[in-house]
This record gives sequence, C-alpha cells and structure tokens, in this order.
Amino acid sequence: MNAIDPVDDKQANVSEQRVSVIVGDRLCVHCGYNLTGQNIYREPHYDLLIARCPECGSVASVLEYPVLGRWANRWAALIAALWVLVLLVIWLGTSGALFGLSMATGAEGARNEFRTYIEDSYKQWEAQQGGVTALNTAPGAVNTTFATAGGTVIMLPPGTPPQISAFINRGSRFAKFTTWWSLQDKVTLVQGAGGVRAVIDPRAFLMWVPLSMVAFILGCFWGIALLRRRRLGLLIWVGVIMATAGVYALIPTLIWLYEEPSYPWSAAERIVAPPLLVLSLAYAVVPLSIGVLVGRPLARRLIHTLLPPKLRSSLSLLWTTDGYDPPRV
Amino acid sequence: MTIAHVCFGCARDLAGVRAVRDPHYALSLVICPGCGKTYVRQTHPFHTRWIASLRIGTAITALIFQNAVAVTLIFSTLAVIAGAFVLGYAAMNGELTPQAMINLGVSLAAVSIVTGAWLTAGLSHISRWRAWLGWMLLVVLLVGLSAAVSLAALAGRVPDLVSWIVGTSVITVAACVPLGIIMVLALAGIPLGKLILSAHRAFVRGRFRWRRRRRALGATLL
Repeated sequence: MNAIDPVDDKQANVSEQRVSVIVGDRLCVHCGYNLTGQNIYREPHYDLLIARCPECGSVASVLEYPVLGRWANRWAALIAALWVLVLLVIWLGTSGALFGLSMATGAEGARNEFRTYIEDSYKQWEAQQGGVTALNTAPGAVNTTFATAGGTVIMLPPGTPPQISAFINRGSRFAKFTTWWSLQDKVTLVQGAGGVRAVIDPRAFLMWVPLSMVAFILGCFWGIALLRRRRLGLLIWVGVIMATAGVYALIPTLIWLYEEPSYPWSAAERIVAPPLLVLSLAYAVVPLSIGVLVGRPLARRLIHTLLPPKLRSSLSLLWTTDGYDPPRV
Repeated sequence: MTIAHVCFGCARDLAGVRAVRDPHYALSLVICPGCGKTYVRQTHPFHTRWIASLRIGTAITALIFQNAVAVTLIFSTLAVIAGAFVLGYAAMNGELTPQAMINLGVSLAAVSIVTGAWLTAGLSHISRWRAWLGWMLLVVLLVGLSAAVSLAALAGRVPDLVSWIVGTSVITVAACVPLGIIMVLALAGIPLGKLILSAHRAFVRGRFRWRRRRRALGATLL
C-alpha cells in the first residue's frame, strides 16, 4: 500500500513544517510501533498534519473524528458485564453437569442383588421383631394380617377410613427399616453380600462415557473462553470448577450422613453412591483438564479444516493469543 | 447512513464524497467539492469495531453451520451403515422385504450425494483427496467407537477383553463395505457441489459489484 521507503525524522521532507510532538500512545497503523515522541508535521501537498513511523516509514494522519459520544464505552462495558455473567452461569452449569453425571454414576452403582440382599435381611429381622399394626374396627372393614409377634396393635375408632390404617402400617414399616438400618454394621453388610465387587454394578461405569464427553467439551469451551490464561491458569480453573462440583456434592453427602434411609433401595444407594460419586468426580478432572489444554489447538485445527482462509482471519485471536502467527489469507 | 464529515472550510457535509487514494502517502483523501480543502477519511472506531464484530459473527456462524452439516452427515452415515447391518441380518433370517431395501437404497443415495456435494463445496479450500480420506477415516473411527461402547453396554457386565476387541474390529471392518458404497456414490455429488460453489461465488461477486455501484451512485448524487 505504501510506496515510501522507511525513513526517520532526519529524512523527512525539508519543506514539512514541524508543528508539535505526539505525547500519548499512538500505534502505527501498519506495523504497530508506538509513535509516542514522534514529531507532527504540516505536510506541503495537502496541508495535513502527519506523523511518520520511524520503523516502517508509513505516514499516519493525525486528524481524526472525535468519538461521537460516550455510548461506545457504555456498550463496551455492558457487553463485558454480560460476558462475565454468561461465564458465571456456564461455570456453575459446568460444575452442575459434572456433579449430576457423577451422581448418576453413584445412583446406578448398586447391584439389584445387593438391594434384594438388604431387603431379605430386613424381612428376617422384621419377622422376628413384629411391628405396629393399625386395625380398623369399623364394621365390615377388612384388616391385613401382620406378623405381630412381640409387636403393637393400635385399635382405630369405628368410622376411620381404611386409607388411614394403610398409612399408619406403611409409616411404621419405614420407621422400622430406619431402626434396623441404624443397628447394622455397614462393613459386615457389604461383606455378607459378597464383598465390594458383588455390591457395585460395573455397568454404572458406562455413565463415564457421557461424563467424559461432557467434561471434554466443556473443557474445550473453557480453554477457548479463557483466552488470556496459560496452561497453569487453565488447570487452576479446572480446580475451581471441580471445587464447585465438590460443594454441590456436599448436599447429598450430608443427606446421606444425617438422614437414615427408609427403604432398601435408598439404603443400597447410601452405601455404594458416596465412593462412586467421589471416584467419578476425581475421574472427571482428567477429561476436563485434557479439554482445557487441547481446546484452543483443537479449535484452531477445526477452523483450519472447516473454514476458508478469508473467514479464518477474523478469528486470528485464537492464534495470536498463544503467540502464533495469524492464519494467512 | 454514513457518519457526518463536515468540511472545516465551508461546512459542507463530505459524508457522501468518495475518497481517493493519494499518490504521495497512500492515504484515503476527501477533497471538498465546495472549497477544495483536503481531509483524510478515517473510519470511526465504533464503526470499525462493529464491522470487526460482524466479521467474527460471520466466521462463527460459518463454523457452526459447517459443524452442524458435518455432525448431521456423520449421524446419517452411521444410521445408513446400521441400517445396512439390520438389512443383512434380516436377509440371513429370510425376513428381507422389498420396501426395506428401497428405503435403505434411497437413504444411501441421498446421504452419498449430500456428502459428495458438501465435501466438494464446503471443504473446497483443502485438497480433495485429503478431504475425502479424512472423512472416511473419521467415519470408520466413529463406527469403531460406537461399536465398542455398544458391545460393552450389551454385554451387561465388563466384557471379556479379547472378545470385545474382536467384536469391535469385526463390526468396524464390516462397516467399511457400506461406507465404501457411500463414498463411491458420493462421487455423483461432486457436480452438485461445484454448482453450489459457483453459485455462491457469483452471489458474492454480484453483491460486491452492487455495493460498489451504490457507493458510486451516492457520490454522483452529492
């Protein structure tokens, strides 16, 4: 574009009149050199104010439009705030997704045989203990017969709807299961069921396939979104995401710790899910870390493959941010 | 609407005056037709950033479109390959129906032609053999991956490693037959791809000419 050879101030045309000096930062439009400290001349051809780049010799006009108003900066601030908000939501979403898939692994982890084993053990105990039975004394009411050896029978007044007696019977069963559960030694229970391998269903680990895919894709997103972060910064961010997922995981863990289960299915889940949840979260770190580290190179490769050169140059930030030359047009 | 550019000499708005490239400094100059004063036409930073954002938006849209087409074609190809397996199984059991064959044939032809057209028009910037070979390798890889996952899920427990590897390999190799047919038929999509490519180029050229004419018209009117 510019046919003028690189020159310095000494080579400037003698008829150019020195007017002033650039005191602020002003980059050369051709080579990006900072023109601060360069002289401003009144050139003789058009009577324009110009400065010369000492690096490439390009002439830069110093006449320009004033910014029309403050709206440019306001819009920029608004867009930046929106971007931060979006990143915040995606951060919480990423942790939530990883927690959810890890939780699903834990929930699917108990074998049906283990659940049946717990139920059978409980039924044996229940048969020995007896229970609370609500008998409806209403004329014509049909009462289910329970094993009540050593148990309690509550006589409900006549006219009580049958749903009430059914509700009391069911409630007492849940309460009894909770009592039985609190008496159990969990390690003995697992050993009685045949050990850890007999308790955990390996099919639950199939959930690691979607977990890996989701973690990798989200990792790629973060690798691209956090453009200014280097590898260490990205890995620290992985730690932040996983810490948030760990905070999410505290909610079911606390429930498991402080609330006794009321039926065999939840009891089996209570034994199997916590270690699987922790294991799955620990595993999620691997695809997430790979994703954040390869996200940018993968995006560059994808852009290189799928976009024609003209469109690639618009996304050159992905190259320049890692110190590479922008893609050639 | 262009941004106002008022002449300091005679206050005439130079927004519609076309800039000329000056021979001395290679600057875009606007010479006031009223008083003859010269100004440098510079783009407003707001406008520059807006144009840059539009360009990034266009590039991202194109990337999403290309990805969407690629993903759709991958799933369609995998579905056709799975359909071919199902049909082969039905043929072995003597349950093959003409309608099923017609359905598979139509799907296979459609997927092939669209694949050929997309590999020609959508990936015109990379050499043809790289695009086609890369596409085939990608599909084979995905077939192998889905076969491995499906076998593990069907086994009901962690499968025996040897039978798992053998099963995955057999399915992957067998998938190469319908994939080969798709790629051969995809050659028929090349003319369609070339047609799309020339239509797109003609559209872009036409738009460029129209913009230039409009700009020239605007300058003449002022």
